[in-house]
Amino acid sequence: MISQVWQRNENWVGSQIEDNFVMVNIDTGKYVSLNSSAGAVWQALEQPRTQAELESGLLTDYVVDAATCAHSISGLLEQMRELQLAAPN
Amino acid sequence: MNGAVTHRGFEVRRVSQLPQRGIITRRGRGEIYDDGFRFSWTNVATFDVQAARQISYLPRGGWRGTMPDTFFSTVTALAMAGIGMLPLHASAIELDGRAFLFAGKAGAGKSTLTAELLAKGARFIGDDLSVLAPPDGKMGFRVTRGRPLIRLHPATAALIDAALCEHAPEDARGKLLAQPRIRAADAAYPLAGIFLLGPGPAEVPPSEALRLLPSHLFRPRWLGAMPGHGQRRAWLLDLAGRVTVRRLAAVDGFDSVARRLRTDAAMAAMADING
Repeated sequence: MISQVWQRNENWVGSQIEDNFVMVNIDTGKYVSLNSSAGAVWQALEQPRTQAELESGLLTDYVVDAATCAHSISGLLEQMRELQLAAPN
Repeated sequence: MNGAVTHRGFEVRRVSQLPQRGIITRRGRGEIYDDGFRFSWTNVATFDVQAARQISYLPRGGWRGTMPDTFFSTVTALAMAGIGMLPLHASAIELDGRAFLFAGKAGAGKSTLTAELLAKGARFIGDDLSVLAPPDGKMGFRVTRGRPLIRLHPATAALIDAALCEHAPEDARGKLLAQPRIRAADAAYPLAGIFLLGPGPAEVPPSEALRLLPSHLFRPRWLGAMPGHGQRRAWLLDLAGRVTVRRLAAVDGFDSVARRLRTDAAMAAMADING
């Protein structure tokens, strides 16, 4: 649902390691590495946001059409949910 | 029960028996609990550590009347981890107010290089074990003393001015335990850089540092099983991202030319990092 508000799982902390934003879950010790666009979504989720708000933000920062952006953000949020990086509240 | 002494903020007390505790898991010579661990050193003593800053030790048949070296290495490292510090298998020196670590496998020459750097004007923080305080506010990682004595071949021990120099017990290689007089004050020093002793290019990019640093934790298998390891991994990530990591050759301790070249390279690299 594009109107759902997504928020971070605050158990993750990260650091910029060369081109990637690498994160570790302080409960489990699990590492993940975020590419540029995933890192941008993570940064945007510093405040809880809807998918529509995330898309709007990325459309101003990246050269991408709205349909492709929406498709990418949907897939990314689903991956973040599976990795327990973020979830709709 | 004898009177207690203090070690690194822990109350250390000799006991005649140890209580039953709820085990999370077993590791080699010991057990891990949710609030500490218990570690047995051969037939010398069993150490029982509680995160509430208490260490009890139960002497065994091989007790010689003094704390074995393992108390100042393994027991101290794991105890400090239990109170939120990061123990690394590395020697440490202080130069111009900042700390540098030298990590590497056993035999890579950490202690030898440390002794040679002391002869060049660096000040001793610790040998083999370094304990890092994690970032706090605007302060980055800080290095505190780990093992206070340095274990050296006699020829290398002759390089340094030592207050104490005696044969290392439990060392079949004839090494000496020395307490250098050129010591940094007992304080926490900002970490300036980490040198890994081993083959490979001098530059260690952050991604490689992140891959390599976990193996330089002190007793990594124990730490991996102790509570709080996720936080320790987060600190390693932070270390890789914010601290300069470089590589120095691991050299044969008897190759004096290679040793001198490595010492000169270390001094130059530290001067470069310190700006």
